[in-house]
Amino acid sequence: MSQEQHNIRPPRFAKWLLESFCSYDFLSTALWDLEELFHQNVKNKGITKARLLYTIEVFGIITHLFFKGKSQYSVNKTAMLKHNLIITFRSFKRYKSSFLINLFGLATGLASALLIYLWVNNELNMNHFGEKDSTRHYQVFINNNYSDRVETQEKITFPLPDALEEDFPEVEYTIPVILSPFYEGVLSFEDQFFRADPQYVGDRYFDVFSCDFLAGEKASAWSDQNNVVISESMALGLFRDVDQAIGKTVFFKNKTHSGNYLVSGVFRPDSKASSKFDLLLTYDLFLSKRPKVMNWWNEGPLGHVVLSEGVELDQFNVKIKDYLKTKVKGTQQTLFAQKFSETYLYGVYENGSPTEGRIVYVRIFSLIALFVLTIACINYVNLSTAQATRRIKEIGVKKAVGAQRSVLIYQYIAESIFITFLSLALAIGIIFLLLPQFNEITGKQLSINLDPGISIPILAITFLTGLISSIYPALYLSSFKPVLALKGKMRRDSGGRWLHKGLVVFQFAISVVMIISVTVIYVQIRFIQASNLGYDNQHLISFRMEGKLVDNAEAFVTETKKIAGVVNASHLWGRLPGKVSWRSNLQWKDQDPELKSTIFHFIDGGHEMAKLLDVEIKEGRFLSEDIPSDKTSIVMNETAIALIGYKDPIGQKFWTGEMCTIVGVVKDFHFEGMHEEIKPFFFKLGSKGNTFMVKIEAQNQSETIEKLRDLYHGFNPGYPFEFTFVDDSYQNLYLEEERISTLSKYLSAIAVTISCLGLLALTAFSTQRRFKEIAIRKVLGSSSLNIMRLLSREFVLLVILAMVIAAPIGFYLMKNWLEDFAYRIELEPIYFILSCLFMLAIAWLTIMSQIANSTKVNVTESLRTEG
Amino acid sequence: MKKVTLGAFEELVLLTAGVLQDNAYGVTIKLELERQLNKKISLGALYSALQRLEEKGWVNSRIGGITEKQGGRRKQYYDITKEGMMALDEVRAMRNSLFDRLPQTAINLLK
Repeated sequence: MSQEQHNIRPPRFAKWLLESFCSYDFLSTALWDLEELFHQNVKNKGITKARLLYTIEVFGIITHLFFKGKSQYSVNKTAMLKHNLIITFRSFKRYKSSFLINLFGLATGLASALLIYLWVNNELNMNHFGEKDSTRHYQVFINNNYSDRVETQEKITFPLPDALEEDFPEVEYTIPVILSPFYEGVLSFEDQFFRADPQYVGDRYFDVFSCDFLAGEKASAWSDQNNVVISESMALGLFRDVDQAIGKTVFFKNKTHSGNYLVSGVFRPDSKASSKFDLLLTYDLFLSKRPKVMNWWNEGPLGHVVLSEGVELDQFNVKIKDYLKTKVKGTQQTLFAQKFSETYLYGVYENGSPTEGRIVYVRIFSLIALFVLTIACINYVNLSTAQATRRIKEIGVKKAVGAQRSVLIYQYIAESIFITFLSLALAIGIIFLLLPQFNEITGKQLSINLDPGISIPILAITFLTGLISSIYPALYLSSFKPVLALKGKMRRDSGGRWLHKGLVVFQFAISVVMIISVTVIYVQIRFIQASNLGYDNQHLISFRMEGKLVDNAEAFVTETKKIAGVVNASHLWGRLPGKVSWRSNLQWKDQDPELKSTIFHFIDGGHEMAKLLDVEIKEGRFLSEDIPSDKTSIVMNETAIALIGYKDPIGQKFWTGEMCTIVGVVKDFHFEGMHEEIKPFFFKLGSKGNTFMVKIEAQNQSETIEKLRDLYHGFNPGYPFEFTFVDDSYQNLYLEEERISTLSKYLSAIAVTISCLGLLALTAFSTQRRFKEIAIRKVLGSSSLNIMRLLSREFVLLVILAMVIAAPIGFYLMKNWLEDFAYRIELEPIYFILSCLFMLAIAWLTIMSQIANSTKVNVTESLRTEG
Repeated sequence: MKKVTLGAFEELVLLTAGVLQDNAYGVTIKLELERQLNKKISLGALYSALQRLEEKGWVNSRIGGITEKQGGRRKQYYDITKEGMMALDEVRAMRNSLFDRLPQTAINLLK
């Protein structure tokens, strides 16, 4: 054997496998043959192929040994394994119903847990990029310290990035990023055009943000200020082909940076990135076209920074906190930094520091997944211990022959892990079926694949499920005394029975909590959707004012009103719901100085704005076209008047940057979502705007919209006509809640189903054991009703106990959840009563479906049989 | 008692072991069979056939070429026994007699 061949060894794993299955004599024969073949194969076919062939041969030998061979060639372990497998299969076959209940219970439990795992895994990895400097990537925020509150904002002032880089050695470099719906525009090439969302980014953007290039080079992407990097979908839309795009000149038009740009790269958006955009332009370009923004009171870019190696965030935060005071005299603003990858999950800021955010949902759903899985495990535990009598003889014989307790424990654990893996196979089938719907609900693109980041945790979860659910049954079953066991006598210990009942109570308590939550969430969402907003958002469409329309807004509105089917139309700044203008530092007579920083929201637009929204006038009048002085008139809402404190508001003065007169008061309406309190608000006249709102008649909507589209294209060629219905946008505010509602609905249905499956099996089993008792009672004249009551009492009591435990927990959880809403339902007892009744009805039906059968038992038959 | 029978694959293995004479062990039988049958034979299938043959007493195994190393390997040779030869003969005779009884028309189909 040459020196070289020494390194050529058969695969170790295959050899180990063979060793653990074959008896010594047979092993040495097989090894000789295998190795001779292996060395021949190495010579003829190469090392990789040879190793593969070796492994295949080993598997062949083992399967032949296992299924066809004689025991003298294999080790005892193999024989035991074979025996245990046979026993397992036999018990599956014999007790089909409990096997199927275990299988389906575990499979649905696993499927829902794994789906949620996929979602949680995706959420946890959001914005975790693997680029060169991603680990040192932080984001700087500004805190506005008001007398009564701290408000955190993402946008930092324009000179700040450069100043940070200059004044702090800890800052290696900064990547200013500008993104705002304000800069949205249209990207066109020849006669193709698409709406596009740009980001203006610093030139080292690609060192921290992951962004796969399909064409072009990252290094040279920013070689010129007029370069643009576009997304794959843009490239395909404009050029039909990704490679075609490179080097082409495209035209981009928006409010500030219209011009020709050279495509230097095409990227595929990273699924881990939370911010979505269609094209990247340089930050330098942004500044060169808007040089006036460069001052300490203009806010725009997001402050992405990369800190040097080894900088502690806490120390850095202390250093930068009061930095702005050195630049702007008397500012109330302070700075802090947060790790960028954490901004996604911990994106809610309280008192100027990050607290929670989406992580709450991650926690809630992880917990729910855990609970559903626990319910499935409990089924397994309860079924296997309740049915211990079925296996008691087997245990007795094994112990009498000399099996140690550990052998029995291993056997039951292995059996349970085996059945969990069977369930996993079923669960994966379920996941494949449900994944499209699940993606729709969660708004994500999840997939299940062999990626070790996903498959290994899935196997681990499955393994743990099997292990945990089998520990108690294994200990319990293996503890029987052989003599008693052979006689078929069970050890009656009260501890085991209590555990049994406790687990059932636990299962149903979780189910009841989930039903209560689903009920309350559902009612709250219905409340939000159905409650009177104070304005009419039906048949109201809104679309952007852009291109030539900016200059012809009034004319366009006049023409629009002439279309048959259009009720009213107006131009305005801002969008409903929620995105309206606001300002502070307003002044009025006898103003409380503390109220100076109070924010007033307002809509400035056409005369008809308030009428268009159909808000109700309380005092005075709406703004009117016929009264020239209305240029400086305003119409306020009740909240604003109450805040100002005017007794007789009509005709009073109010300073909004110019002196205005209050001419009307409208009733409060929800210009934001129901999460928010109604805030001080006023209507004002304004020229131009950035949005059009059109109220159309309920009939012939599509025709009206077609006419509107024609008119739009006549006024504004080269821009797509894209509109939204205001009531749809309002519903979208509650997308997150809708998702939670839908998900929790499904999950609680699963929890209830699994719990009831377990209950079904338990009742079936306990009534079966009491057949004789039932028969004797019948002989003595007991009615079917009596027997049913007798048999169901125990389980019904357990379910009721579960409700008593669950109700306060559900109350507490739902009270917490509702606190996020400014307008919410009261937690009426009826929700709890209904949920409990629902659960009770289902549990009772489950129990009855079993018991009803057993009361029809043939008295003579069951008394005659021994058992 | 059930009559001991010789399966088709067993027959091939037995024949090969006989043909290879003194040099019949796992690898050589496998390679020879593969050459004759023109398909892959797994060692597992071969071993189980050989083990069955040995049980029936149609082959004898003997050990040769033991390595001295720990966890050593050994070559296990299989020699066909007299009973093995008889079993082969019986199968062949049975086949021949069946062939002889094949009607002339069927044989003509071959031509």
